Amino acid sequence: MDLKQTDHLKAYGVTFHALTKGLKADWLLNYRGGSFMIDYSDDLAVECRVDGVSFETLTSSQVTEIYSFVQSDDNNMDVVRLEKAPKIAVYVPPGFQPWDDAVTLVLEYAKVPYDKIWNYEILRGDLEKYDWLHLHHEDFTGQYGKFYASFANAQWYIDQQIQYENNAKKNGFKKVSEMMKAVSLTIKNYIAQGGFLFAMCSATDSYDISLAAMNLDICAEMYDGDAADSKAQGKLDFTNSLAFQNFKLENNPYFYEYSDIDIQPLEIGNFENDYFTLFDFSAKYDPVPTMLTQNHANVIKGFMGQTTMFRRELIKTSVINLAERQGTDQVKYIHGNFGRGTFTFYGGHDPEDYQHAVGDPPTDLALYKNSPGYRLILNNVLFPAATKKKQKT
Amino acid sequence: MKIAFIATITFLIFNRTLIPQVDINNKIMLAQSFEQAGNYDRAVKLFEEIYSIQPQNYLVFESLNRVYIQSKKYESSIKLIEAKMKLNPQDVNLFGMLGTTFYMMGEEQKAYETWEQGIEISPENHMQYRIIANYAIQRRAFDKAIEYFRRGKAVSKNPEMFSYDLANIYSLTMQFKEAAEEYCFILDLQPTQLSTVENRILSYSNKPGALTQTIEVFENWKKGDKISYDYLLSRLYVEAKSFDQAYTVYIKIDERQQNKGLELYNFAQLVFNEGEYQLAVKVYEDITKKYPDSPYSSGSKLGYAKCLEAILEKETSIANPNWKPLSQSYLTDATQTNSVINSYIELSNAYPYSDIAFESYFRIGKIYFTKIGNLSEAKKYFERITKDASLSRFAVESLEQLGKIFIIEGDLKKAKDNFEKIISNARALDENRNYANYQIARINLFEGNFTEAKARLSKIITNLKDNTTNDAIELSLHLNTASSDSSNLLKFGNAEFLTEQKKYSEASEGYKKIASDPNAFILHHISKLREAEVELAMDNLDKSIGLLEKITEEAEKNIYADKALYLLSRIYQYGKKNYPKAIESYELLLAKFPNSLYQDDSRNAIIELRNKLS
Repeated sequence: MDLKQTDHLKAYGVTFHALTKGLKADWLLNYRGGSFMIDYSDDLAVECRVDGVSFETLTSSQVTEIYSFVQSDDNNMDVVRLEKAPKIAVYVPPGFQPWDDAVTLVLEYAKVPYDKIWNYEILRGDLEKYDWLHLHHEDFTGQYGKFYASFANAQWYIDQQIQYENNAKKNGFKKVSEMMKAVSLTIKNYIAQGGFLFAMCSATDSYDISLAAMNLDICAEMYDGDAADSKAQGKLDFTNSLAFQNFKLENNPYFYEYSDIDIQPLEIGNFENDYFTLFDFSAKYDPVPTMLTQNHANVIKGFMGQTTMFRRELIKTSVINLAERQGTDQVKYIHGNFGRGTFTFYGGHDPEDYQHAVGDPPTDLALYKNSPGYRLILNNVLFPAATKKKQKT
Repeated sequence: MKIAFIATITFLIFNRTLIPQVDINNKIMLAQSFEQAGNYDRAVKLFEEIYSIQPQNYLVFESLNRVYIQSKKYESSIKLIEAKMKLNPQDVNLFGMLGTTFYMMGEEQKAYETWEQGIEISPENHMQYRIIANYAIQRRAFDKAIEYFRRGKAVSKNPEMFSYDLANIYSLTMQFKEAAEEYCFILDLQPTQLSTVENRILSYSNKPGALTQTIEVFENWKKGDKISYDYLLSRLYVEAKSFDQAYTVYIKIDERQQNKGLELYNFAQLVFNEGEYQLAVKVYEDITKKYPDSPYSSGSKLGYAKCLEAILEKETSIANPNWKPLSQSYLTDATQTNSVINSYIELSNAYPYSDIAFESYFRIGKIYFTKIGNLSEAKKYFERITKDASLSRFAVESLEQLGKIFIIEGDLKKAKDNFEKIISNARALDENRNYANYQIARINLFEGNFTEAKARLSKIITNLKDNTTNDAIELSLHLNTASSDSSNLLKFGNAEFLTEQKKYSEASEGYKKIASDPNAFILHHISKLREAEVELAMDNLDKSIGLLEKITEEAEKNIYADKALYLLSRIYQYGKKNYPKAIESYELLLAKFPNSLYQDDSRNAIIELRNKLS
């Protein structure tokens, strides 16, 4: 899917539906910006047309030619068979609107079905029903996004706090922060057992911080009713976290930041120059990072979020950097393994809304059909459908 | 000597007290900076030291307690507060603080007992309840806070003060029924609080279940018979879009208030803006009947007429569906149009030479023109505006309508004159002038003045922001490509003229002739489509389908093939209501014409139809 593709985002939806219908689909890594080869059916062709997805019908000999071209050792390309449409869960509170979250926005746009789950469902063990879990801008540290200083009196903040408190009570926890720790741990176990976690925005660092602070109280009085442990920094256990280590907590409860993992706007400098670059991986030797970075553009416009990018020195060495701002220590997109599963963290809130603020209108994806930033999200959606091949050694 | 001695003593005493106070102030500041930096151990030490020197200093006491809590030294906090309580056993705040420490320790029961002891100091004093309730709120122990507020309300001489607190906390915790009961209670005691109560309720009425529960409480509140309930209830009905129920309440309000229909008038306008025209008509009629001499009578009459027109417009749009490129039928039911016209006549007679009168004339003219097809009557009204109110905002629009009427009547000279008047009218906008130029170009086409027509169009096509530009470009294309085939162009102009005059049968014949001439090039293509469009206007759906299918088969040989297929799909969708066939047709458009302008609309139509079928 190179620049000729009319709707990159819906192409993923078409492929997803083809898988649900039992059609055979292959992901041609790095072939014309990463393409899908699906068994032809009239229904599929109609779906492509209705969705505005451009496609080419191939003869058997053309197919053979493409396969041999892609699998040739001379080309950094490969074929990955997509087996089964993954079952997707998105972690969101009740009453959430799809436009609050770039992932649900693009899932809705591409017509990829998903279930909404929250704390109760996670704690009762529903995660085992799903292949893929998405977290967005939730705060797993139990500090309500650290919006207190700016929004303590805003109705939405008050309502949100009550909603979380009631939810904690319902789930048998005295404090929201305690419930969030239990949720974080359950998610970690889900990954260990083979689940795929994809997190964006503040769900990335806040999730990892909550794991490192599993046995600590890092929430100030306005968040959980009692003081934070003033010596929490020294007690963080980085062996518990998935992606980050040696980070410093932001102890000021009025400061809108969890730690020094996130890159601050001042560090980004001129927003006009905020672009990140995808790394080029070997399709035959590193199919997973290659899948996650399939795109028709490899330099992509940056976008901010509560968590925008990750500081390179704080990323664990076992984690793969998928995209970064070249010449800086600012990493946008990372991937790692834990147990039998994987996790992918993508900084920023909305790839097509540079500075998405609370209450901003939703992005109309019909205007961004070819968004490379959104395409990275969809790579993650189809990634669990891929058959794992033995690595070439 | 004596003076010198006294001065020395005073200096010594002053110096003894001054030096430690400065020192203490510095220490307080230092302790506070330690606290702010999160260095609680050092802050605790310093505050303890200061407190041992100045145990009466309440600021230091509070600071010390705060840093104890921040460093989770709850036992020290308890000791500190208990020691203070021995000195001030009647201070309810100390009980509040002690209870808070217990609560933070997780000893909730002990916290409640301590808070209870605070209240017991003076159980008849309502302020005790309020203070303790606020401590409970700070701990987010809302149920406990509610309990204290309720007890405070029971002993207070100003129970409504507690009702506000209670309502607030109930709404916060989404107990909307209870919140509404408190607000009813407030209105019972103080009806003047209506706007405050209304604002508070509306601040949360959009939450799930809030409106229904609140309405239910207000409907069943039998304790008082006050107008304020009715005002609020009607507002809530409006909020819930239960306009009929709101109207019933407004009638009651109107009867009681004797404001010459003010309440009903405001309600009618609100309902009109919501598009509930039938109800609005009823309300406006009600006002003019009940209060003929009211200051709201004129506004009601205008509102009434506008409602009738809006209803008429709605019904006409059903009769003349806008999916068809051309339509022919006029509404013939005079009873519907007469009532609208009469109400506008009445208005214009009541307020002659006013803006209301000219607006009424314009609307009457439009009804005669577009709904009844009585061109001479329509002209009368439009001409009256252009004569008597040439500077009014309706003058340009009237000239436009007159131009169109004269085209239909075949008087192209007069039509042109009217459009020229628009161009020279100082109040006309660029948009109006472009439209007038386009119409004059079309008249030139009808008359066979192709060079002049092209010159007119060239004035418009450079302005790409204008709505008329697209039509102008299309017409320009026909004129330029067919310039060497003036005989067919003349025939085409004539057919277009007949179409404009809604003489569809004759127009169809004209188009057919051009369509059958393969040498007519572009005109040959457009004429085939036009023929299908005029047949559709005459409701000859099958004939139109046949013609459109032929154009579609021509594919790339006819530049209008995609447009034809789109229209064909719309006939299946709206005319034949054959949704599967419509879907099939739209899908064919997607497959055959991937670069068509109609791709997006076809996709949306397919999705809509699939949803309908499923």
